[in-house]
Amino acid sequence: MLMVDSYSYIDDHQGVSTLAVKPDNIFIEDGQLAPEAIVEHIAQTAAAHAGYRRQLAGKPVCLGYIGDIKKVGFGASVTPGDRIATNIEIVSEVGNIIMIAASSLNNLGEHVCQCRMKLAMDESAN
Amino acid sequence: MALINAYFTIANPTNAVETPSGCNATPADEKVDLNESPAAGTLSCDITLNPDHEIYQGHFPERPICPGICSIKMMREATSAILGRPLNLLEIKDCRFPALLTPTTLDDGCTPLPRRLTLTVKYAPAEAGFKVEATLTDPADNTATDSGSTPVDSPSPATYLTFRGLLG
Repeated sequence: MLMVDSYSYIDDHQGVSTLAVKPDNIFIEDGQLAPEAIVEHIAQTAAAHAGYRRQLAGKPVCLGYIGDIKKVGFGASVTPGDRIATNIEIVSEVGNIIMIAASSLNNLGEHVCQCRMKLAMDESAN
Repeated sequence: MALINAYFTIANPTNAVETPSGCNATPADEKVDLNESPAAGTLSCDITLNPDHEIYQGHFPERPICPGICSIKMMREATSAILGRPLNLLEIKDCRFPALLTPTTLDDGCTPLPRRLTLTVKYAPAEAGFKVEATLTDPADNTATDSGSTPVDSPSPATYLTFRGLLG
């Protein structure tokens, strides 16, 4: 259930990922991508960004888990053939807990989803 | 109740609809027509995870953890099934995953068994859909702690999801 294809931009505090939604995506229901899947796409975007930063810092990449999600709103529905671009920014970081703000657009520039998410990085599961 | 998704099954659904005279328990097969008369109530069911589902092959290799968003989707799909109408996820106000949800338990200490959970959903009519407060707990797991460190005097079931949001 890989939900990120690539990064189009990345730096230490921000990243932009893309996902081309295919018809065989496991989260397609009634011809649309389930809204939960967009949240998973955001979570994987944030986890990949965290992995990138750990590599830059010379640390081993580890697993990341969603701790909580807040202020999630959904816009345009997503269907196979759409391409989602998601921008994440680090809001705060305390120890292994990272808070991010995320916003997703479709290929027409329409708002798809926004949220705040807390991720816990598990260094015991390298 | 029949299989509604390959990664989990539900059983023993109940739905207590609030009426002016109080709560009215509704049998599982007696659907409430919420289109006709939006009602508030509390529903519940047992959920059994399917540890052989493909989602665990990648999440994560050699360390199966139920994705948090699958817990939300289970809540939405079970609520849809019990209320007898398809519900979409409209908004998440606040959602927490207090513990990692593995798809199996070791009830006898050595044999992995599919994990069984209890879903409880309070719902009330809202301007768009239903305002929902839900929890997903494992009644067989009483290892809950306060602040994640100190065992409590009266252990409560381990909680894997608390959700507040809108379905509609």
